Amino acid sequence: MLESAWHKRQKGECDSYRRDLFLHYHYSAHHLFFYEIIRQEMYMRAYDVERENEKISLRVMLTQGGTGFTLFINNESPETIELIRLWIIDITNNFHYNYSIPEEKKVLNPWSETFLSSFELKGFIGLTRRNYYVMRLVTSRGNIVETPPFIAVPGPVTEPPWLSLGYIEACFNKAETPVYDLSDSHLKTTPYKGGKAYISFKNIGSVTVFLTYESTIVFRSIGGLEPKCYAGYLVEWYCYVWDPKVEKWMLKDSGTITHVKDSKAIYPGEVVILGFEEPSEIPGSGAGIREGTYDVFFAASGYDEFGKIFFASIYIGTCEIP
Amino acid sequence: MKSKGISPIISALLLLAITVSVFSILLATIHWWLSDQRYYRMQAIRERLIIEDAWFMPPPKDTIIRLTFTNVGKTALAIRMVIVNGRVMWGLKEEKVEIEIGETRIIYVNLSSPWSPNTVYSIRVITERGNEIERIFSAPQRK
Repeated sequence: MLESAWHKRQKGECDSYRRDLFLHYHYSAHHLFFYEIIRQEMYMRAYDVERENEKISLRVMLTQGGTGFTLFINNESPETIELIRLWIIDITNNFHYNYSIPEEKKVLNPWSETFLSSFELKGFIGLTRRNYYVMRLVTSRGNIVETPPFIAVPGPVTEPPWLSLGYIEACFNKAETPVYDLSDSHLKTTPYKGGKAYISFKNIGSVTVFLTYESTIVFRSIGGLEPKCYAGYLVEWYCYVWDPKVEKWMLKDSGTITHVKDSKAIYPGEVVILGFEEPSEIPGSGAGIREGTYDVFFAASGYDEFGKIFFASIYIGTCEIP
Repeated sequence: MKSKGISPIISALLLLAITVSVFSILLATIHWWLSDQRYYRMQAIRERLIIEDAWFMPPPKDTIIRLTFTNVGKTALAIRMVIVNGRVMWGLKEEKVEIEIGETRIIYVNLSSPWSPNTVYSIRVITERGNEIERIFSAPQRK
């Protein structure tokens, strides 16, 4: 029995199949008998070509503190595409949800873009912050397009693809680090009074990240007459482990960070204490930070285990320098 | 009494009638069979089925894979068998799921033992007309 073109295509034998089909139908005594079948084959082949022509790109922007989203759907093909279903897959908890596409968003004209907001989906229960998700769109011709996995935190967009999915957060847990707030020391938490600044960071994502010297700590004055901003480059890192025998934090490893030397690999779940040079108005110049009240941020820069660029902007808290 | 045979003309006509009717029946049967085959083949050509999703369900239902199928072809079809990693896991009891054009149906496949995390599963589906599709899925990590 002859196999269908689609069947052959599934097995990657499309070209040989076309040749076989040609030989079969043109040199066979059954030419006339199979006329209807040939017609059907041609018709379905045209349908398959339309299906292959479909090309959609997806971008996700997270809203509402990471619990909502806007999905940008770009039709990059000459075909009119009908969208039939959106799947949202919670990778962290292994749950699969599917939603119908609203009628007014179903048809996507050639070379056009539309967007789908989470509030347009009937029964949408919201994303869980910090869970990993994948979104999958199904078209009426049977194409399935997926976003890369992304984490539900405010701001990140799953495109461009070179952007890392890594995620770090300031570590304020006393049990995990000796430096659980902005500190003067890398061994314990002492109120910051200027000079070198230390803080702990935990990799709470699922990919390993490396930080580079371009990471900075930023101080933005609040409440003063004249607004001031200071920043200091990342210059060193420390890893401590708690020794229960002596009940002390013991230095496990440390290193410096320069333009030719990056941080150690920060593995998922690992806590690292980062040291910054004294913040100044011209970072790297040494002119020190003055007294005042500041909002403190960490602008992290680096790359991840997949070679993707890693950025993070973390609000640490308010700090008063006497 | 002397019996008389059938006249040569009548016998020729009879033979002709028998021959014609036998060949007519034969031709009709062949034509019917070929038409049936052709119709069946044409319907098979028009079949298109996709596996939209395979959900390896969390405990306590971790022996079950929920498969979502959509008929994206130009004819109604029926799923007769689901084969997971070379073993028939659904369809042995002659059950079938019919799917109209554009319709989506769900099949729960019981693996009889819990699925293995981070393992590749090949899922092959065979339709009533003999078409088959295959898609590879990776089971998720266990939480």
